[in-house]
Order: sequence, then C-alpha cells, then structure tokens
Amino acid sequence: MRNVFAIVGKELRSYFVSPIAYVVLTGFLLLGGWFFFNLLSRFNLLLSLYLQMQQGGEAANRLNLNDYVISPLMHNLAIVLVILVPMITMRAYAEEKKGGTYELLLTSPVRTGEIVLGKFLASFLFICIMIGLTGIYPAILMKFGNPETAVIASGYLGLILLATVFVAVGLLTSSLTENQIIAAVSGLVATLLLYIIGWPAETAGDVLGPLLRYLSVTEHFAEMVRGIINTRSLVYFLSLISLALFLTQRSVESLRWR
Amino acid sequence: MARLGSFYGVVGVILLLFAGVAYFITRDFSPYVVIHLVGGFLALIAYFASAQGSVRGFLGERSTKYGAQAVLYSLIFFGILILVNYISVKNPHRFDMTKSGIFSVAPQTRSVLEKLDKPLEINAFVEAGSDPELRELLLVLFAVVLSLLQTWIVIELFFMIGTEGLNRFGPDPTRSPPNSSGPVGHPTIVACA
Repeated sequence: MRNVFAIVGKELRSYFVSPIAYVVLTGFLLLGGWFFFNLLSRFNLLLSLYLQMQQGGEAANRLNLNDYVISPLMHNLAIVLVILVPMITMRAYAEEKKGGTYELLLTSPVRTGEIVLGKFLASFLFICIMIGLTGIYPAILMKFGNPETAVIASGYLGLILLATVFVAVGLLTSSLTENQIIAAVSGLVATLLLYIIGWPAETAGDVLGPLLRYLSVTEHFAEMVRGIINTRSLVYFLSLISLALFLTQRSVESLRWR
Repeated sequence: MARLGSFYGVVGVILLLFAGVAYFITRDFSPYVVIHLVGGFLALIAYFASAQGSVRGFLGERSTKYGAQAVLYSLIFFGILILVNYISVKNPHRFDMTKSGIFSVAPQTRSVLEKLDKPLEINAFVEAGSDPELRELLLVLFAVVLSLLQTWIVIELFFMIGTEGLNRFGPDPTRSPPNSSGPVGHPTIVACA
C-alpha cells in the first residue's frame, strides 16, 4: 500500500502545482453557486406567490427545500461532472505516455494494480474535494431552513458514486491512448452515454427497456437523490467502478506483452 | 492484398455486430438481420482465406497468447459482475431515508394487508396513453407484494399482476357507468381474482 500512497501523493501534487485543480474547482463551484442561487430564488418566488394566493397555504406547505432546491441542484451538478471529470482524468495515463515517463513508471518496482489504484484514488480524492466544497449550499439551507439531512446525505452519496464511476471510466479511456484530447472526448462520450442510455427505455420493449433503465446511471442516481438507498443501485455503481478499473489494469498491463 | 484482407475482416465484424444488435432489439430474423449475418460471415471467410499465412503466424505469437488470456479473464470478470448484479436485482433492499417514510408502506397499511383473508382487488385509474406514473404505481404494488410474501393472498395478487391484470382495461367507473358502451375516458387496470 505504501507504493499506492506514494502514487496518490504524486498525482494529487501534480493537480495542485498546476493550474488544473484551481481552474476546475473554480469553474465547478462557480456553476454550482449559479445553480444554487437560481434555484433558491425560484423557490422564494414560488413560496411568496403561494402565500399571496387565497388557500395558498396548503400549496406552500408542499414546497420543500429538498425537492425544489437540493434535488435539481444535484442533477445539475451531475451534468457538470459528466463534462468536467473526463478533463480531470484525461492526463492520468495519456500525459505519461506522451512525456515518455510511462515506461519509467512501468519498469519501476511497482505493480500494475498499484499504479491503477494509486491514480484512481488520487482522482477520487480530488473529486471528493470538489463535491465536498459544494456542501456549503446545503449548509446554508440548514442554517436558515429545515431540509431533511438524511435525504441530502443520500443524494451526496449518489453524487459521489456517480462521479467515481465517471472517474473510473475516464481513467480507462486515458489508459487507451497517448493523446489527451482523444482521452477526454472518448471519456466524455462514454460518461454521457452512461447518463442517457436509459432515454429510449420507454419504447424499447419489455426486455430491452428495463435493461437500458438499469444500465443508466441517472436512474440509480435519481433514486438516491429522492432519498432511497437501494442495494441494487450500490451494487450497480460498484460493479461499474470495478469493471472500469479492471479493464484499466488490463490495458496498462498489456504494454508489457504487446 | 493484405490490406484488402484486413478490410474484409473489419467489415465482417461490423456486419455481424449490426446483425446481433438488430436481432437483440427486434427479436426477429428479418431480411435486414439475415443479410447482415450472411454478409458478415462471407466477409470473415474472405478475410481468413486471404490471410491464411499471417493468421497462422498471428496465432503462434506471444502477444496473441497473452491477449487471449486477457480477453478470457475479462470475460470471466464480466460474467461474475453480471451474476452479482442479477442476484442484487432479484434481492433488493431499500432504505427509505425520508423522515416521514414517504417511499415506504405505512405500518397501518401493512397490518391491514396482513389481516386480509380473501383475494384482494386493486383498482388503479391512470391517464390514457403512455403514462410513466403507471410504472410508479406498479412499483408500489410490487413493493407491497414483496413486503408481504408470507401470505397466500399476496402471492395471488402478485400472480394476477404479472399475468393478467395489466391487460385488463375497461372504462373508468368514476367517469362513466361500468356497463355503458360510450367512449372510454380512462383505462382501468384491475388486478384481482
């Protein structure tokens, strides 16, 4: 594990000594803040409109911060992650291949699995920092309102699992090429496909429809945002992550015999 | 010639993939599927015929052995994941994190259902046409069924929903008399004995 931690430290440092981390974090929080501001303004507007109406009190009671602010915020952040995560992971292997340090890494006394795990944990930690910083929004709501904390926690678990799937897929695409643009674009396509694969489920028939719905990250994520933690969803996310990491390990290993 | 051979190989694989996907979606050996299937096989035969020597050499290479091993391991891993996911889909456990338990069956409902001693009839009224709420409704019904699998009544209900109940559409009794021959406003789903 010492080798893994050494790689994690090196990767995390490489994020923070370059402008990458700061640009990504700033962009993500800027967009998150914009979404939060707009959703909260809309919530306030709806609340004041309902309260002005006769018999609007009952309707106003149905408005809640979880459904009207936090849930749409999480979905918006997920879409931003679809775009940003491949940009974070694109350099993990592709840059090393281009720079010629990949052979050095592979010939060092470190196992392939440790390299893959180290790079994955570094990107995962970076994503956790990104998502963790958005915790300021629910914290503000909790200070001035009464959202359900357990539902927020469930949504954040979903967001982290979703982002981790994107990280694993992004690392896989980065391991397949030495061109960072190709790595980012193919990562974006793969993550976007995972996000929208369930769209034709309604019309795809009795066999393919449920299968497409199950394969879609959105279905599982939406359920967690609503406050339902299903073991089925947890197994789905962990399976995708382990599959992508396994294929990455195979891809990195293949350089030894190709 | 070698280039043309590899071109045949790629075309063959693509045609077979198209045939496979089309069959998976339509479940029918339509002319589209058959043409792609036959074309794919012919292209692959052409590929192997044009590259006999190189294929033999390719099969004997060290990288081929390692590559085949990697593919085999990947397939085994993929199979294990499919199995694990299948088991988890068949045995789901839900944790409702909402304070009021809005996604759970209330204890009162549960106790009422457990006390039932004759076949249960459930009438559900949904909007005509494709309605996603229908799925939500059925999910709730299945949740009730799954939570009460011990009772024979629920097994009966489960059976009826799965086989017959979904297709039993009739007029909405709240909009028109049950025996009237007028236009059907809303479909009625009856899951009952």
